Amino acid sequence: GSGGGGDDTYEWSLAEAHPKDYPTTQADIWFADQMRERTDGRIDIEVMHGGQLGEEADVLEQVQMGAVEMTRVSTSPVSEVVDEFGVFALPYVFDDEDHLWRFLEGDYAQGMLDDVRDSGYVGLAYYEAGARNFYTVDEPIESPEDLEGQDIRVLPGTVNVEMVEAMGGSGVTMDYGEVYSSLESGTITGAENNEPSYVSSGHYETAEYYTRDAHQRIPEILMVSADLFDSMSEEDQELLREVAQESIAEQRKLWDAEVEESIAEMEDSGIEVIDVETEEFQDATADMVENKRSEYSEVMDAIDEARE
Amino acid sequence: MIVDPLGVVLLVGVFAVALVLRVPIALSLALSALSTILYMGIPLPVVGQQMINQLLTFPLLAIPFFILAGEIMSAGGITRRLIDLANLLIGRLRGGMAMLNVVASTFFGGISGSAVADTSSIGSVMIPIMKRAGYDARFSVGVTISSAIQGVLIPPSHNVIMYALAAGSSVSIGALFMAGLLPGLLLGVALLVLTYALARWRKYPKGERIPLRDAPRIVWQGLLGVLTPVIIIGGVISGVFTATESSAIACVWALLVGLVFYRELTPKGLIGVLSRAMLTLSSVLFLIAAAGAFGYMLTMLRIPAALTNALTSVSENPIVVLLLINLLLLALGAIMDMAPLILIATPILLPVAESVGMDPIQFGIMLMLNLGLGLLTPPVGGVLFVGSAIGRITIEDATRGTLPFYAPMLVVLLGITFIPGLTMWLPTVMGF
Amino acid sequence: MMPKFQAVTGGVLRAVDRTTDTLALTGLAAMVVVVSWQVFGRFVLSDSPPWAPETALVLLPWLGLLGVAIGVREHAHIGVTFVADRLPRRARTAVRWLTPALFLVFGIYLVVQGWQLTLLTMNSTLPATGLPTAVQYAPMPVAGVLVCVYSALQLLNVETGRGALATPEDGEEGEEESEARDDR
Ligand code: NA
Ligand code: NA
Repeated sequence: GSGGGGDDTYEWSLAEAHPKDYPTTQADIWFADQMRERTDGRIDIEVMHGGQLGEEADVLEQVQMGAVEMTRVSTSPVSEVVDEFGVFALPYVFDDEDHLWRFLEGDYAQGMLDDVRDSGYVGLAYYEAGARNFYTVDEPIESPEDLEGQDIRVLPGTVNVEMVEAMGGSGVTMDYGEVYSSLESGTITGAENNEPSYVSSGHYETAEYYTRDAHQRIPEILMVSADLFDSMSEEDQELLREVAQESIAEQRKLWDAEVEESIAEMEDSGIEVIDVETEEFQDATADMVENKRSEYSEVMDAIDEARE
Repeated sequence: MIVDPLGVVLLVGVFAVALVLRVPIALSLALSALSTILYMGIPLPVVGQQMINQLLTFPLLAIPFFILAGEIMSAGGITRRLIDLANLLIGRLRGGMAMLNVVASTFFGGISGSAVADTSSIGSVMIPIMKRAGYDARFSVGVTISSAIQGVLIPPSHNVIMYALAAGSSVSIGALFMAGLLPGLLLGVALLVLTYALARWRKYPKGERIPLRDAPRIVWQGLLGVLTPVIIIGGVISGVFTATESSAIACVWALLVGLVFYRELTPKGLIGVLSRAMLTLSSVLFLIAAAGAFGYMLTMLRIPAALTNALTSVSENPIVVLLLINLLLLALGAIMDMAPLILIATPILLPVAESVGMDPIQFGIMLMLNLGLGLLTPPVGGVLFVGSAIGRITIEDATRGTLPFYAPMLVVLLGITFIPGLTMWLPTVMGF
Repeated sequence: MMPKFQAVTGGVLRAVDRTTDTLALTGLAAMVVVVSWQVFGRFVLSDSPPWAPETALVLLPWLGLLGVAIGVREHAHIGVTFVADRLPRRARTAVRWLTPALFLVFGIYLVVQGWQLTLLTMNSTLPATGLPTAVQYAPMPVAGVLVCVYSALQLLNVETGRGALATPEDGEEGEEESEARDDR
């Protein structure tokens, strides 16, 4: 073909756990379209959305084995393969979205994209997944004290349970599919997620208080199989990285729009959105983060350096 | 999107040939997935990886637990006392036990939301009861697995949540739940009517007349047994445990009653109980795992997507289109599990249904019943597998026993498809 | 076969059966305990142990894969008999050997590729317990060996099924009890 550099043709699957209209999925599709366009269809990537090929941890193994060529996953399951990515699960390591992205665009985080190579992946780009916030059924969370007596569903992983406990609540790990009915029946009194997922999961229909405490910012990552990547021509490798990097702007734009839309929908539905000062929450978890610091000292230093 | 015809022939062909040659269904599924993956050049461990990952879902725990609970209740004397009680209350009604089975499924399906869990829980208690009361095994399994399908319609249903996610944020889960309620109850009533008719026609047994002076004793003794569903349903509704966890609690409760109250269970008997449960499970879990690997290969070959794309080019007549959608979903449901089909079919078929004027809510419920029917349609279906394993009969016999029940289920399906009010009335009234 | 040889192999096989079945039954019981503890912890102690759901889940593939092997031994895996029963007698005999032969192939697959999978996932961890992900795949090679043994024996026309699971309590006479399955 005239576009791109090599002559090899590729037909790939990109495994995506989010549904088709989710902003991240739309960014994957944008990336795939760009690749197809710029190589005259020589690199043809199909986005397999909605978790058709399995959940994120499942798909990560499939990429490792070479069954699936690309995937977009949260850095949370990646931390089970490369420890360093566990830093994103620590509460309040980033002051805000700008701080996160100064870090992600910096040399250290870009180097982390290559650290996954030993496990069989090449990281191409980070994507935005917003901030995770608490939402509750009975009473609003305005300060850490309000978490007392609350059973909050968190992501699997001890660090997430410890985080809620540090703030005074009780962290519960539970299958995502059971969260909706558990909020209704009172098995749990709350959960936590970003705005788009809070709305699309329907959890807002039961848990009507949404507290924007932004306790975690866990970015996502676009990856390709390392074996496959290494077998490509240099021009193709270059193009893949380039288009992936360009897709970040597209993804963040789509993400911001979706967050705004979700908030509008929350307000329409009479959801009480509580904007809190995060300092108290941050103080409550400071010791916990400090204790973990030795595990992540290098990356934590880099995160601190990315502060203005 | 390219479909590899040879890959399709291999996957379906190897499966069909092995099946005919009496190779166990689970092994046939696994081997056809293996031959296809070998041909496609995908690394071989993926089939095993998919089998294992199919088992790594928390709600699946309900299957071993409810099967175990059924065995404990049987060995611990709960089942026998429940039979006596049921006999006292509805024994004189022809087909009473079978109708009790349907009603129990309506309630349990309401809380578990899973047809497979429903089959495991109701089936492990009711199938042995019905067999001992003189019903044939085929019918007992047939009525159990057909009525379990209510669970995917009656709220809350985790499959409905999955559909809502696949359909996008415009579809409210609350509205979907409301929409499923009427068709779910209608399905229950339709199954009851057919069960009663079949019981009259086939002269299913009536219980013997029980002397009135025995009644207080039977009621008293049956009380602890009746508490089992009360504890399960009550515990889930009040939030003490989730629907999946309730299956473990059912084991603990049955154990407590059998060991402490009725004192019919011994530690040695308990090993026998575990062992019988494990024997049933050994076939069920392999089937579920292998069906997962087979389904993954279907997805890899893009078969569901290709079929649905082909459909969209056939006709523009709304009635024809909707009928074709139903037929396609029933066909896909026969060979594939519910969850992956929801994810694959929704983004492709929902726009088609909307283009002929169907509401996404109505489409969701139609999809649920279609794929629910697929759960009991051979050759691949979780409910069918669990039901025949618990009833200790072959898949053919279970299918034969289920055949009559397709009539009411298809009537309700047509109702959902062509009468929007059946699904849309309740959510509209409730203000969604 | 010589009686003495038979006695020795019989003893070994019985030990294998017992180990397999004890593992499976313990796993099943442990799952109930773990999930019940999870409910107790959350509801009574207000302390929800994150390891609980993960542990119960890890046990499920073990149960499933050991079940594959037990099912081979006990002929518990369901097939479609409808067509095969109508075949001429010679074909029926041939078909009888097909299933154990294919199970042997599948057993070898489980051992070889299951081992690969176990090695591959040795370096990643599970989020709550920190166990290597390999614990989810290790049942493949383990059960694979058992599937090979049981199917090979069936090809040699040696049946070791007992219509029930081998349990510590059934003692030496356990071998003869083949009707234990439907004894309710
Ligand atoms: Na339900
Ligand atoms: Na089916």
